[in-house]
Amino acid sequence: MTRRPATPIHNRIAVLRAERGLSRQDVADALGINYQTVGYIERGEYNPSLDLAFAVAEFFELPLEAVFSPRPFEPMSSRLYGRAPSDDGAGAVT
Amino acid sequence: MITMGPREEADMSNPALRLWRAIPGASRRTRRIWVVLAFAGFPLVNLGYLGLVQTGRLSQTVWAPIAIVLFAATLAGVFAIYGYARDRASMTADLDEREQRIRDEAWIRAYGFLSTVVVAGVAILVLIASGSGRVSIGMDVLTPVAIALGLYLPILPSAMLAWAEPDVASDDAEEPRPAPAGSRDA
Repeated sequence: MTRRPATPIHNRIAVLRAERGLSRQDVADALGINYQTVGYIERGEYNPSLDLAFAVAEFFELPLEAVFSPRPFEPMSSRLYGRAPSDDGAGAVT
Repeated sequence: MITMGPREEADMSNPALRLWRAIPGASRRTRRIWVVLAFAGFPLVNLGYLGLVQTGRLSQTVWAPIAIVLFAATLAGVFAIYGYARDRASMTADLDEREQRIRDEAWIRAYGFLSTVVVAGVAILVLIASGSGRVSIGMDVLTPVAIALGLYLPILPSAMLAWAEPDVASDDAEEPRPAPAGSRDA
């Protein structure tokens, strides 16, 4: 039950929450879902419906592709400073 | 710092309320024990009575306390299963899309389990009938079957939910925890 999806959708919800100082409960309350569902989506253990994905993007006031992606996101540090991610993946944000 | 109001303090001093609130946080291992207790207790009471007491292998005096313990285990299991699932197994509950999917999977498993039991029961009756030529079912068999149906059918989806739902992830366990006031910059 609630098996991990075969093709997880990568997302930046955890980073966006941290930037805004929001808890999962805050996001869940705004979207009308259970706070555990936010955790499941963040960890890639549940792929949200298109409706919910759009609602999440709208909540963070970002385009859908800035929050969700079928491929791992490039780390923020490399995007901002042109630094390649370290080999051990430390600090990588997906 | 978290402070409790008088009502919360009174609630925390009530062991029954504390237990009721702790049930949803149970691990999957614990939940599976509840399901086994609930679904094994009552059938064992009846099988034990038919196989041991009615055949004269065990006296009723010895069997009575065993039957009471088994039936109490069934009721405790049913109570715990209901306490875990609450209304999350209900088709009318207000759930988000992930919870709805979990509930639907629980119902599918429940129907699958029920279908298997019904098919197995009919197959056993057919086998008996093909051997002896006739099957006679008395009230001594029908009564426990009716009680089992009344006891187990309503909680079957909840039991499937309790059996299969994964443990709460460690980083989810800390929620809900509102962000400290004044820490938001959005």
